[in-house]
Amino acid sequence: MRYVVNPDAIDCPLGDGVAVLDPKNGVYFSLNATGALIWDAARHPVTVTDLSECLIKAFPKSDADFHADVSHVVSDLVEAGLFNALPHTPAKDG
Amino acid sequence: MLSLWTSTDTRFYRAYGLTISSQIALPELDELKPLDEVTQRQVSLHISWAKVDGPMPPDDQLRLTQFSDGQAYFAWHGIGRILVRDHATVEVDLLPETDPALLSFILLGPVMAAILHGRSQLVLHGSAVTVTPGKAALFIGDNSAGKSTLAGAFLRAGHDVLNDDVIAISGADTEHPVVRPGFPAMKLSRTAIEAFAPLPGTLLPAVPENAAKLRVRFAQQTQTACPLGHIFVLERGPGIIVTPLDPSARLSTLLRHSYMLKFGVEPLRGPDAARHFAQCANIANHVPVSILTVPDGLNNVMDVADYLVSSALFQATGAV
Repeated sequence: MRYVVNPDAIDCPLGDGVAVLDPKNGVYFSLNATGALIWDAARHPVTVTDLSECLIKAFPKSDADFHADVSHVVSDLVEAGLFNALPHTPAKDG
Repeated sequence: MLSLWTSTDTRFYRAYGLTISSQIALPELDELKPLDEVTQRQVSLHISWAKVDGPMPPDDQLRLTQFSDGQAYFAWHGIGRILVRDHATVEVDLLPETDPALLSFILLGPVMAAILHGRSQLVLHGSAVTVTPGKAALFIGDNSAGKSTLAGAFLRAGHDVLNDDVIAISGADTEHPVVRPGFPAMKLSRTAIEAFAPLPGTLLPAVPENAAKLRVRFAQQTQTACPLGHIFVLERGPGIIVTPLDPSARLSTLLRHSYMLKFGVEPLRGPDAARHFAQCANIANHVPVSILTVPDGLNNVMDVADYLVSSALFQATGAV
């Protein structure tokens, strides 16, 4: 599955993170700096693995379980309507 | 013969930076001298009597509010109907046997809030005062948190009360938001008026006669917008305690005290949602917001005012 930011969502800088809103249902989230990295990376379709690798690059010395953390955040954002889930399209052969 | 209140003579006023022509007396406002023809063209808000058609609220509700493209419609049981067009004209249709003196509460409260919101101001519910020259504090909080009472304590101590009930923030999308002075009057409980006596100003007649709160009319010292220094969320507690909020908590607090919520309008949905959300986030980034715990008792409220005036919160500049 790939994920992408809902194109109708509104985002604003908030502290060192970002505040995001879906104006259709009035749901908003405040994301911290790490959440803001996820948000920015998902402006184009990405997988959870892509997002985890993005965080590993940003925090190379961390021993956090990024895959589990990203899965959790992505799940919340999809449920809130702020991320759209896209069916995974396999790469075409040769 | 028509009374003063129902006269169709037009008077001119100023409030929230708007020049207002009104066929309805608004005793809370400073009346401007009759305007010449050129200045009359600069009037930005027209209030007049008119026939307004529309539904009345359901029997179990006091007020009905409807917003549509450029229009706001209000209807109150026992009062009448009001239609606001393009945030610039207000048509008032009073029910028979209604005391027209009730209208200024409505026109300067919810109707003004809707107009200012439509004019892209960030409108919060609370009170605003100048604490030090050129720096304003906002007091927001739940009902009975003591917002007006604390503002009254500042009035008693010689400070300017910029807004009571409807707070209008201009430049809410800039790094330097300002509070625009509303009008020189506020509502205070009879006990607060007694405790703070002598207050600078005069009391307007109670409407209705047994009203719990009276209107205090004072001389507003400033007509210019005042930079927003700090926002306090009032809560009751044993002592004066200031607890700063982080930007995320600031945002949720500002959204919760938006005036539009009083209309049952969800400000984070619909066409104004993006602007309203961005304004609140911007204020959360640039203006410190703190919970201010205030002890019960009117004498303690004076101490809170003294505490804020002398605190370091108003010596620093910029965001915290």
